[in-house]
Amino acid sequence: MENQATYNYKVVRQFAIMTVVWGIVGMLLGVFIASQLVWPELNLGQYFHFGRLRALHTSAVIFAFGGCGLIATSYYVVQRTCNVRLFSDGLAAFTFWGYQLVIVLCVITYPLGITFNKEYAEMEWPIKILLAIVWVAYAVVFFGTIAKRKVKHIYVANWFYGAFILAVALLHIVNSAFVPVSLWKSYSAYSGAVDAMVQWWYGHNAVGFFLTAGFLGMMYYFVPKQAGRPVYSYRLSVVHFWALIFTYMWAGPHHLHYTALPDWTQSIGMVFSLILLAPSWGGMINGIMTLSGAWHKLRTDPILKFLVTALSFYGMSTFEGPMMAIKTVNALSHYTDWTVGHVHSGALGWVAMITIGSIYYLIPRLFDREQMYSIKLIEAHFWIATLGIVLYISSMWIAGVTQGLMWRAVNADGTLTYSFIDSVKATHPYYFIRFLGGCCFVSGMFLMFYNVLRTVFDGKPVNAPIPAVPAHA
Amino acid sequence: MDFQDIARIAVTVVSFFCFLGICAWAYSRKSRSGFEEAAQAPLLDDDTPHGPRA
Repeated sequence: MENQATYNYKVVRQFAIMTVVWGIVGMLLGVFIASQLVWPELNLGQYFHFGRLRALHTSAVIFAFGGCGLIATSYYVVQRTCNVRLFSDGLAAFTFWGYQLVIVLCVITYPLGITFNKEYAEMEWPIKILLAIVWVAYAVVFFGTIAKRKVKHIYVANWFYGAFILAVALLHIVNSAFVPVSLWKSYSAYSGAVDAMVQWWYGHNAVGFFLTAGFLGMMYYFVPKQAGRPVYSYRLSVVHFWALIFTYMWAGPHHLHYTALPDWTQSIGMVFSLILLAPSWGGMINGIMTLSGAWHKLRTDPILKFLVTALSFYGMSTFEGPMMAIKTVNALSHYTDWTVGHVHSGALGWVAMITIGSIYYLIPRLFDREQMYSIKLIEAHFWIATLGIVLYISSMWIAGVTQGLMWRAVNADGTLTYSFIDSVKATHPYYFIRFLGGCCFVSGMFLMFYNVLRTVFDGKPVNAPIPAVPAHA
Repeated sequence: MDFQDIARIAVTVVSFFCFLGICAWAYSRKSRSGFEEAAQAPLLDDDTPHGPRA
């Protein structure tokens, strides 16, 4: 029973540190491919070509940075809110080393051109199988911990984490169905329009359950903790949780407007994307209103600034998303850089900022310190990151709308007004501004890395004792 | 209409009523005190290290 007296912070520490490391790697890759679009000479040989590195960038930031952040925080939150140590230390360690191995294998195989050719799921079948095993182990650790909890009620953050874990397992397994032809080559088990629909059922629900539900789990623990206020409306969190669960699965077809997908499927995708505004804003309002009565803390607390700004960007991008899913708007926005801007308003604004805020909360607690080494550096990080996001998304809005308008412009006799290269030339200056925005954001991550390292070396790794009596008994 | 279609319609309708049921439950007076307690729980759990103790 000696072993049961403390929480398992070790695996949380490992994932938390790797969140920062993979964040820097993934975002540096992003800045590099952004500069390849500004200066095409930077496409150095086949291994470092834009086409190969882009897949690595998206997977690194979503699954390596975001994934490590989600696993770190979920292991922390599930232990603290269930008042028990993780279900199995060995299995938890396996999820860490297994997950890191999956990431390293992707880093090696993607530049070599080994790819399954599915968006956000480019890994070839041996890596897919390894990831599926690791993910099942993660589910066992998480739900096993919930099963042996000492607290009757399962706190809402765990509901979101649980939905994220279950849905991602389902998505990964269904979308990965493959027919292998050799060790490093396989083909999708689906074909044609069905393959496209499965791909975007997966792709959009990766947004819905990985990038939304998972990070809402983070939000529902760290915003109340950092603000020192309970969730604004617990019943709203229950209702918007189930609303998200019931509606997200239908929204995927909006990625395939005006394609070979049946028209009625496209329309259903559009309608459900519009409905999604309600549960998304339910979460945003619930998070922001948690600060009511504690607004003054925003002035002095940069961690809270990260968390609340993340919620603001979440509200913005979940308004923009349904709007872009309307077929007539999509006719302008599809295939343009507007989509790229929208994704980054969600990815940098919501996902990265909520993760950064949560990691700043976690690191001192994992290393027996009362706070981070430097609060001023967190403040600097916040402003440089915000500036980077604003540069990024505003330049991509302008670039995207310009492209959309130029592509659809026709002369009186019905011929196209512009050739494709005209729109590329018109976009060039905005690509440079986007590159600057990316530089700002990644330099903020370097400040964070320094701050984290100083905190780690000032402190010492601890496994906090489990409070003897459940706090609210 | 074959069985598959009826099953699809049934699942959709049952899900919808299930959601209405969840809303009614969440907003019922009976759930209030339990929710308030649940919302307070993470705040009552002190997870801040207080430095090396003497």
